[in-house]
Amino acid sequence: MPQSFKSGHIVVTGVFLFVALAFPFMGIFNKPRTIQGIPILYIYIFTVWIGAVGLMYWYTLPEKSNKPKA
Amino acid sequence: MSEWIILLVCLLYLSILFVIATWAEKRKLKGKSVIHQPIIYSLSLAVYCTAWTFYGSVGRAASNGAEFLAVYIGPTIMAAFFWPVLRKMVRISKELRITSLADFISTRYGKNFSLAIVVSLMAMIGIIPYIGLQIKSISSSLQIIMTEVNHTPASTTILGISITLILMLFTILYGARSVDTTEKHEGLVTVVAFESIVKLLALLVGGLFICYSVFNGPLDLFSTTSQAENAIQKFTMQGPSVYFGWTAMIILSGFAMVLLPRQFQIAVVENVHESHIRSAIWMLPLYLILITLFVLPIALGGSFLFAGSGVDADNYVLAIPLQQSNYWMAMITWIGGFSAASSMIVVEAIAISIMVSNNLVMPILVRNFSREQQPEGSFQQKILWVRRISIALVLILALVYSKTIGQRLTLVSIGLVSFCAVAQFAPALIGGMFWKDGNRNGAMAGMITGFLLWGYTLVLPGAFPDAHFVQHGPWGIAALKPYSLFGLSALDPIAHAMVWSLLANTFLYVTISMHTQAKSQERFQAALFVDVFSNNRISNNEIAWKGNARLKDIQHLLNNFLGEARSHNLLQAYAIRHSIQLDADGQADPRIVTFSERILGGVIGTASARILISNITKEEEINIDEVLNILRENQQTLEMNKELRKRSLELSKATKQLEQANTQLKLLDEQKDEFLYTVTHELRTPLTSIRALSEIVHDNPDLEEEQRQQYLTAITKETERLSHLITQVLTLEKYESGKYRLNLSAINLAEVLHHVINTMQPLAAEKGLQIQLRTAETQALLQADKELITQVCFNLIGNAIKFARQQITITLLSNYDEWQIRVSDDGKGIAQELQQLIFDKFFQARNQTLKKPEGSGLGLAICKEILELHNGQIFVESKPDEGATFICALPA
Repeated sequence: MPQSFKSGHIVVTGVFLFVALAFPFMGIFNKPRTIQGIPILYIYIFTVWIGAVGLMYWYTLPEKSNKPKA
Repeated sequence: MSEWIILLVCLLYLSILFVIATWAEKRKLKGKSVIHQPIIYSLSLAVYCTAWTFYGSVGRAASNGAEFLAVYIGPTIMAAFFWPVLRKMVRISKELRITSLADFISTRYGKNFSLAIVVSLMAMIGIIPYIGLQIKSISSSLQIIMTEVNHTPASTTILGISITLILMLFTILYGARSVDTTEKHEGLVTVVAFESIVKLLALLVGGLFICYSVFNGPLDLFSTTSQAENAIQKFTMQGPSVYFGWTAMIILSGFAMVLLPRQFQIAVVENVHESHIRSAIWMLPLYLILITLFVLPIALGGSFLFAGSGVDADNYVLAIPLQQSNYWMAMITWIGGFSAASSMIVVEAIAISIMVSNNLVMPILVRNFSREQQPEGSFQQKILWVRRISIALVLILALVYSKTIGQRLTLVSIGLVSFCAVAQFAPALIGGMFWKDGNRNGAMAGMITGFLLWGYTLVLPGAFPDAHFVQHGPWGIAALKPYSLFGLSALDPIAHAMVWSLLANTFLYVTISMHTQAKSQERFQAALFVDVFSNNRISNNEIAWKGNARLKDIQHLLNNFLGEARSHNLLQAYAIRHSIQLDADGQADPRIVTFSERILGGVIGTASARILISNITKEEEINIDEVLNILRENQQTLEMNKELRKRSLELSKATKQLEQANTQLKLLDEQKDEFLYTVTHELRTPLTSIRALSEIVHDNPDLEEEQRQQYLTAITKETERLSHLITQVLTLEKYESGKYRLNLSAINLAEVLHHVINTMQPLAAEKGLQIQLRTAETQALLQADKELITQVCFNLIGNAIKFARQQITITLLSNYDEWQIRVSDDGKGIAQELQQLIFDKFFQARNQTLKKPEGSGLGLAICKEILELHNGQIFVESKPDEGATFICALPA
């Protein structure tokens, strides 16, 4: 039996990713400004995206179970 | 660099693909499967990234900024749903030996044949242009390099045809190896994974080349290019049409991740183990992030370098190294683009050809299938040829498309059109996995309507942009204009088509399903799909078949499609596993029939297998009640099992409790007996003396007055002792029974002690003892029953007086959260082994050998009970000849 992991958390992460990267939220960063020449919208999208994938990775790790083996 | 070097590199790369595929197939034969690793699964899923990613995304980024990212964010969101959605698709497909999208949908809706045909046609029409554009991208990119090297334009037609032929050969060799399509295509999947690595590395190397060779690092690239006119304006999205377009692309690409035929093939059919999905949840998005990382820098660099020169932004990946005269770098990026396009072409061709052969060609072959045994292997060869020809047909159609209509279309636009086409499968397929009431009528109506709307709002106006009906609507009716149907004009074409087609599709699917009845077979399949994780479906599947078939017919059928040896082995193994008697001339067991149908389904598709089986059997339609009964019974058995297990657990728990209670009762019973024995014994002693004394007085009336008085005093004393004893026994009983209610009040321990000591002082003085109270506390307050605590103090000090030689010391102190009363004497002490026992009832009585002091022997037992009633405790510290200290602890 493979160890369990937080599959429900991953689904929620996906929903949040959709909300964060759709309008109206994305409108906050949808401005013609740059940081070091890099458009802020681009920075925002990649930050959120990488963050979400990091979380998804984290949630696929085996859950630490405190229950004794049945 | 000359032309032949370029061709040599091409051929070299292609032969590497063949070598890898052969190597993987050989490893599989040796039992060392390559694809049995999660990373290979995730990499092969990246077949999603095609030439579109390589060329089209750069072009899109150059014109529309960050918009191209939507196509990679969608699959990331879908990846988050892999566990509940994709895993279910994989499980269903494995259980029912499903090998294509068309199979999946038609099996769900009662193995319906027309549905399978509709899905196959939709996939063909939706996807072949997309394959065509990939072929075009390969030939035109090769043409760019050749032209640059040779300075004379090269022909794309020859290039296109020859590359298509090589890929066709590869696909046929490694994609149509065995008749059983449920077998994994080891070589093919390994090559796809390999090409995923190649395209990623190529794009990363190309990106780094532009950042560091053309500019001084990414920051320099960004700061240089951002000064160009309008550069930064492009990186904001403007207007609601762009917003909706962005969201629509996220949704479409999310569906495409699992619904494109090639994705279904890799993600579902080629999946070796469900656990690989778990790793793909993060590996695939990580891959997508990496492959898009340099798209924007390349687009910005290209726009800057080729401003106003007319170079197509789609070709920046190649054009930049060529402009820098770095031909090897151009070659590397070209190979990346080729690997992206070729893996897509190969897998898509296989997936489509399986649908075409199983659902469009096979039914015709199968309908005329005779019961007679064909020459060994002939039918298998026929099937393989059908599949090979289908592959060739699909690729030729794609090639023709790329040379005709495809010439003026871009990768991205046609890709999105395909995405929108396959999204039409979503309601029927995903709905069918989670909603039992979704039925064939709803699925059919929804898909066809969605598909027609897709054609009307996206394909037609795309093919004839200047036609009258596109500009003004058919017959001049503006409400029917394809790009703004019913006046919905605020959206870009893709979002517009998606909204209308998916909305109509879902609406029809749901409402028609709700208002029509499904047939029994279909309901049964629906339950199999929806409950795939919850009960033992296969056994259901086997029961739900009623009809007669001769085993011989079944065997003939299997022999024709699988060969005699293989079908014999399969049937034997199945019969042994399920203890079925194989009677060569008799009727086939229903389980054997359904099993054979499943096996055949893996070869020729579920719908064709259904036809074949129904040809050779006299089937009775099982009625709906029977199906429901089977399902219900199964459900009930499961529930009953669960209930039974729960009950038996409860029972064993109760038994254990009973056992414990029983032991305790026995112990108590023994104690009671013992207690009664000692009590009666103790009562008899004073009674005996009372009786003896009163007899003396009675029998001797002439007893001297003084003597009589003495006897009577003794009788009174013994009576007092007796009544004291009885009182104590009753008190103890009252405490032990738990009936005693404490009369709690705030008491001051110091006061209580003072009171007791004052009362006991005369008695002590009589024996020449000193009582000393040591305490700093004047306010030792706690909630307790004053009478009982006073009783304890009397008992302890009384005991001390009995045993002390000279001195009694009483200490009252506060220890953390409790009060302690310590009563010390300087008597002979208590032996270690007796220190626990002295608190037992009648301890003295039972230890007749000890020198018996006065008293009932219940004093300490009573003290112990009282303290326990107060949640306190009593114990003794003592060493022989050094006196004893009794310690009462009461919670403050």
